[in-house]
Amino acid sequence: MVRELNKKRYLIAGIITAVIFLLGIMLGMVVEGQRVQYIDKINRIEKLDYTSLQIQYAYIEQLSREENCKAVSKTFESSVKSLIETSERLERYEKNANLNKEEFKILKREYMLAQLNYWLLAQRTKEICDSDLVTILYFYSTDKECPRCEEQAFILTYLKQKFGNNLLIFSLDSTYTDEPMIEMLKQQYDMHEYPTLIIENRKVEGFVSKSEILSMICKKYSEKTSECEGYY
Amino acid sequence: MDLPNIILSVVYVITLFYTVFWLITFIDTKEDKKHKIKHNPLVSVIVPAYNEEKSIKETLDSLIRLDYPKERIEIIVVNDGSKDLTAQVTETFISDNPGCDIKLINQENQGKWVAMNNALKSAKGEFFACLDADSVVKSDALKKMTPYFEDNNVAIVLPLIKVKKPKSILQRFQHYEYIINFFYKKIMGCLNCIHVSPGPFSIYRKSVLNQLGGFKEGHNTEDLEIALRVQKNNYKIIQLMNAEVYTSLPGNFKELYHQRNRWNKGALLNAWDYRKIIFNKKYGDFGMMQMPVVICSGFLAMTIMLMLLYFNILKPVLTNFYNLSLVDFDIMLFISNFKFSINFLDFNYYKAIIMIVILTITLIVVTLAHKHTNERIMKFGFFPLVSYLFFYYLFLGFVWVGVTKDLILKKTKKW
Repeated sequence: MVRELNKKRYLIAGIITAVIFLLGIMLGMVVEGQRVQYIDKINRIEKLDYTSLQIQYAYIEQLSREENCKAVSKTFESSVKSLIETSERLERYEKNANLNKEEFKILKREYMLAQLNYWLLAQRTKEICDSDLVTILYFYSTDKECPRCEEQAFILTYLKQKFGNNLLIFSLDSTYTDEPMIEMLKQQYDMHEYPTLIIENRKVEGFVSKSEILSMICKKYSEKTSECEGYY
Repeated sequence: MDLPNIILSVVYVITLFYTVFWLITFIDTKEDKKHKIKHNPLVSVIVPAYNEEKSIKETLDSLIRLDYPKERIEIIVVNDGSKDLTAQVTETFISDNPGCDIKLINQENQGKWVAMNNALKSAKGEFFACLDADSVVKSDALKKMTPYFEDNNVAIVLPLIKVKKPKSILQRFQHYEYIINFFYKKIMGCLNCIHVSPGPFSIYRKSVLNQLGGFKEGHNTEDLEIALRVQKNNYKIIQLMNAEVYTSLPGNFKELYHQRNRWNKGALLNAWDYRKIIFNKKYGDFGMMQMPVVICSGFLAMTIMLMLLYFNILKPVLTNFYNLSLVDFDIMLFISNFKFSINFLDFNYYKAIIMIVILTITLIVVTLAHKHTNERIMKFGFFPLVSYLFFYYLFLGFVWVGVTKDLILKKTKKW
């Protein structure tokens, strides 16, 4: 008996496999494109929110309308919240992205700038409206250079959940060298290792535990709260 | 993409390629023409038995009830040194059925392959069927199988093995496994690539068995070894889907694990013994496709299982546990702040696409397999089927971890 080798069948199977594989990649491209569009759309609304907030604060400042502070603070809080949520989402998408890396990078730059905008705006809120806020800038780096960044991020998420709107955490990718503002901050605070936290203008380099952060931020609040019990 | 994802993708693509190839083969192969019975050749049925006093009577009963001329069947029970009443039960059965040609050979406990060789020496039939004493054959099976030996190249004809009265969830799990496996074996038959002739009612052409020198120990799996030897000598093995045999299955996990450990170890070691066939063009599809699959599939299953377990369960659990320790296990805060929000863009589309492809192919295979084994998909309801689909790979991977461990330990002992 002579044995057969069905070359044609292997070829057809190979082609079908390749077609399924390519369909998968195409579907992936569609989904990634949708993601870029989705973030883009939210981004436009958030930019408008930011401009609106700026005008609102200018209005209060010039006309001394402190009675409007309560309403503006609320807008501020919800805008920051939505911004941070979108930034986190963007971070996740970028991690999984294989095809639209460049577009995600541009979006990321916009979001880092937006976060810095809000960081500056938070200073103004405190001056104009006496808001009881603490801000943290969190500089992270890619996993290899910063093995403890994920742990640090987890602790910050935890604290964010604990303090809610009274604690504003902005996370910035220190490896993003295309943005001069990041470089400027790195130089100003003389950063060498990551994670680095800037807690209300004070720099803390390296991993910081939950209780250390608590004892630092609790001093900054003017009102005493249950979250800070034992850390004054 | 990082290394683990690349490895997983490669394994997925290979699996997809093979599955597509098998399905094409299945669609491409025409049904064999109907074989007509020209004469009823003399068949020797061997029942090797070791401590089978409880089930052997039912096995013998099914044999004498075969729809086949009584004078054309010779039954040889080989008692492989049983410690129970197997011999006595058989003798009683012989005296109760004087019209049938039943013989009992007693030997010291030497293993199934020796028992089969002993029977081979005294078997008179043109064909040599083997029936494990824990199995029962359907009455029309033999009549349907013998005509396939018309082709002189056919050395072994295999029946469709089904699970005898699956009661426990583990047996129902195996019920689905057998259905899928025999569908796979049918396709392998189309490619002339079957690599095992299991104990329940495989029928051999005796002249080929004698020419090849009978059965060998074959790493405790003589049924794998003989099939590989038959393939090496370029004879055909045919899988039927309409001749049915029912076999008893391990009822508990430990037995099942040991059975599968033995089978898979046997498959690997025997394939290694016949490694000259691997990637040898002379052996066609069997050398180029099937032998590499026999060697690699277990390790692929194991890789997938270990990686999925590590990346989807072990790593997240450990990371989360460690992270929670950093915040003094204040889980309540996370629970009270938990908000459920779904955005379809948040899905990991890469995983989603793979899941969809796997699910679609699985559904096609499961449906076709049930159709061609004449079984209903929902025979036991939803749960056993779903548990089979989700846990079979896990179980297979677990068995292969055991096989790998045994092989490594054996190696070090030799040194």
